[in-house]
Amino acid sequence: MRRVLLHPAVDRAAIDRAAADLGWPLLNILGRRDGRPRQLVFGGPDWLLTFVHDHRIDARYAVAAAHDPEALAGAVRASLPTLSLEDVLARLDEDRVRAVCWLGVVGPDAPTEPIARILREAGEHDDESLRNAARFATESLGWTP
Amino acid sequence: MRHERPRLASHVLVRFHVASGEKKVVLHDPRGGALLEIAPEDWRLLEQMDGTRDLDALCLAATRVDAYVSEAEIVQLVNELDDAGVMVDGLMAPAGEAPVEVPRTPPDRPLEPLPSFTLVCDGRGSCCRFYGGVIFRAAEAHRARAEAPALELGVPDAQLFTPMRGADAAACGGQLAVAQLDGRCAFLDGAGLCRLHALGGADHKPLACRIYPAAFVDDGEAVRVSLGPECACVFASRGRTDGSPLIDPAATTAADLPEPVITLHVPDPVPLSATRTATRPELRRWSTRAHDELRSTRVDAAAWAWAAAQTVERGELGERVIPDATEGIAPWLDAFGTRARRIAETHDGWRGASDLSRRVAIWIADALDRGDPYAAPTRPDDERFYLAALAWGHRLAVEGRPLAHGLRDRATRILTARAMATVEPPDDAASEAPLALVEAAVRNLSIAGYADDLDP
Repeated sequence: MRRVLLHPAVDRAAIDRAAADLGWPLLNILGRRDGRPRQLVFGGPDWLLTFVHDHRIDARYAVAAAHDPEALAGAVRASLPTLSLEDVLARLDEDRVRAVCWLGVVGPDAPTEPIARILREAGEHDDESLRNAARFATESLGWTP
Repeated sequence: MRHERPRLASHVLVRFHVASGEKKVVLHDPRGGALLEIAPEDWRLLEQMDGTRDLDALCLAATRVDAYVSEAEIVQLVNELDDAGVMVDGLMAPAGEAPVEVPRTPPDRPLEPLPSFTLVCDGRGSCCRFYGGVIFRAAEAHRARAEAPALELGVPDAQLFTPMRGADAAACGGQLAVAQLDGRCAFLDGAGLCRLHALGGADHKPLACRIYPAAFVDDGEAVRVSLGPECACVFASRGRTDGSPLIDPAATTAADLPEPVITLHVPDPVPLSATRTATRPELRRWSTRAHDELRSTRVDAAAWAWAAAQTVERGELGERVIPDATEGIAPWLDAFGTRARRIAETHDGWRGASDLSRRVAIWIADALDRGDPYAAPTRPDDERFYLAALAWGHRLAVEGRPLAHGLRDRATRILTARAMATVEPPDDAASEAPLALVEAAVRNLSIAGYADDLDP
């Protein structure tokens, strides 16, 4: 599984255009409910591409699940504006809470510096919102202790 | 999207057309008069808007029928149609109990066919080239659809039928309207013959075509069987005895009619004018006398109808009508011409060049612009027969307007047909009976109601 953080300017129309261009069939739409974010599911017999409009972290991201998820994620990156890990790190100074949350989307699969340090510091910060952001990102990355 | 769960209003007529080779879907709002053209792909989207689906569900439904492009496109379609006033929100409200008892025709009610008339169909298919909705019942459509591939109709199977009204065929009893090729029924061949008839005989055609042009009106004592004088064959049949009777001669009561035949009911009391009514037996006597008089004398039909409106308005149903001049008819002709011109302009934009409806709309508009409605009648016997047939069938009393209005309206239609005879007709065999075309145009092109604000 691969996650791709979309640029904040990407909206539903842009996703629909990319889907039409690349022939992604729409399979399902899960509405926002009980804390679950809104999801747009495209897919085929052996792949799923879910666009999550995550109201909790104010972000849209794609989750690619396939035999070769990186290829699918690459197709998303090629067709829509996205944010990389470096882009998110660059935003830490201007909007730290949101950027820490977004690390949960673009961060590595295993604890890696400097991400681990940033999350550890945020988790111990006096600001509750920053601590919550760190908790969200850590849970989202699924790093095991 | 302005509607949470959008649905096409159930009174809107959706028709699939192939005009000059181009496929299009036309939405007609008979209440507001709006005429909209949408792409066949948009119709597939619109079909999914059944009043239960929100935007997300519409996206998924559109995907299932391979019509999904984008959410924005669905929103745009709904909003554009809403601007035209043809969209509503949610499911159709269940019909409540009728405020008055729905009239039913008892099976033993006798049938009274139009006297001395048999229909000689010329087989040219003129009537199959004029109607916006040649209606098939569900079973008839299933059979026709099964046979369509072998007939190479030039219409995709999915677009061969649309619901008679709205976007949900079930909501209109499964009745469907067949697609049209340049205004012709898709099953009509190039020689003017019905392909379904050719395939399996007359019984293979839908019931509506088999009983055409018969019309059934229950007046409380009998079911009058008359006709819609909307086809040149009706007039060509006048005086002939070698045609087919309007109904099986063995049929004597309502029970003998084909089951789904629609029988209209004369209202009780019968509105004569805005302030006066009559009983149904009084109307029966008036209709019979009018029919007999018109078929036995040589009156000017337009003047007779105009004068009859005045006697009816005075409640003098028993009085003999003395035809006079059609003084005061000019505003009616103006109103008819204005409506016809607007329709001609609208239909000019989307109907094909060979479409009979388009050509007739233009002909009528042209005739009332340049022609002479006061010219001497060229077919006075046809005009009298036209009125006589309508009178026999109580047709002027079941159109939702007072009888006097119906008479003035018919005088106007007769003068319109006279005007048409004074200008160049379209090059089409159907042009030989302009009065039939006027009659058909009023129904098919939604001209009815043109004079609703002209009653005294």
